[in-house]
Amino acid sequence: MNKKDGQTGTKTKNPFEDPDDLLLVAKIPSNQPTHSLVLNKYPIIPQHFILATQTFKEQTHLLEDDDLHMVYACLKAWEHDGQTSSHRRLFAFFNSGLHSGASQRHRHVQFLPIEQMLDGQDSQQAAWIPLIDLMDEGPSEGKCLN
Amino acid sequence: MTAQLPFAHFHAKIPPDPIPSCLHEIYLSLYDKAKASVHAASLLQSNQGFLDHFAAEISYNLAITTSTMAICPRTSEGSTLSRETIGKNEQSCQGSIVALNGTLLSGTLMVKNENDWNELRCDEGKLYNLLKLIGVPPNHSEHSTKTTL
Repeated sequence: MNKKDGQTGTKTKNPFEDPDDLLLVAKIPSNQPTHSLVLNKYPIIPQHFILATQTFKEQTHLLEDDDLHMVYACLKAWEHDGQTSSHRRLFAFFNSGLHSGASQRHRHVQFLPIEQMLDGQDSQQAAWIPLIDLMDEGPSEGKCLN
Repeated sequence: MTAQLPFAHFHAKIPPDPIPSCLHEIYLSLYDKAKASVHAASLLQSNQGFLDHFAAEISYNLAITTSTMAICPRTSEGSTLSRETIGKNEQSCQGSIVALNGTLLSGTLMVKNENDWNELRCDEGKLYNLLKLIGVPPNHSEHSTKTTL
């Protein structure tokens, strides 16, 4: 993922409705796309990317089955990329509502490579562990238990 | 010295190879807990417009890894860091606003300038106070995850 952002746009433009060719990575699933994978035009770290619904859906509405399915598929695909021998993981996050820090109405989930978040750490410091990994162990929710 | 996070948050483990409906079930369960915590703390603000069936009633951040889903109900996007005057030639300036989004659940936040960066790094109390303001107090929910730092 090393495409360069070469375009500017107005602030009010929805970047996910018709994604910029230079930022669009793929439409998934390939047979009948429901979502777009797009590089973040304003990345906070390298390889910061976004999964957005193809058709407009509200960021303030509840996520649906296919949204979560696509999120999980991305998380798994990243970990299982055969090109890299080292273990790697993604952190996905979704901001919804006035107080969440959400900046765009079109439904989208953001992804950050955890290894990029670790990059630049002072080796003298205690290793940083993502907060979500520190949450106490517990059983899975509901009927998902095997 | 350990501390617990000063905002309510809920999480659940995701089983290996979950079917989509399983993920959705976990999500809705976490959302319900988050919503209940906002109600319990009497922090639900009345909506100004019609709330349709699909709309969430609360603001929240959701985070997902292959093993875990976590949610944090939000009551404020951020807060102002007060700034003390430093150096006799510098004007005292307004505190800058630090806003938090879903990266909060990875244990990170972003600041706009180096002053804010230094301020938060040098004074853990300021960070703690900021975190107290952005969500629901954890003691309002018996189900809140107890994450120790």
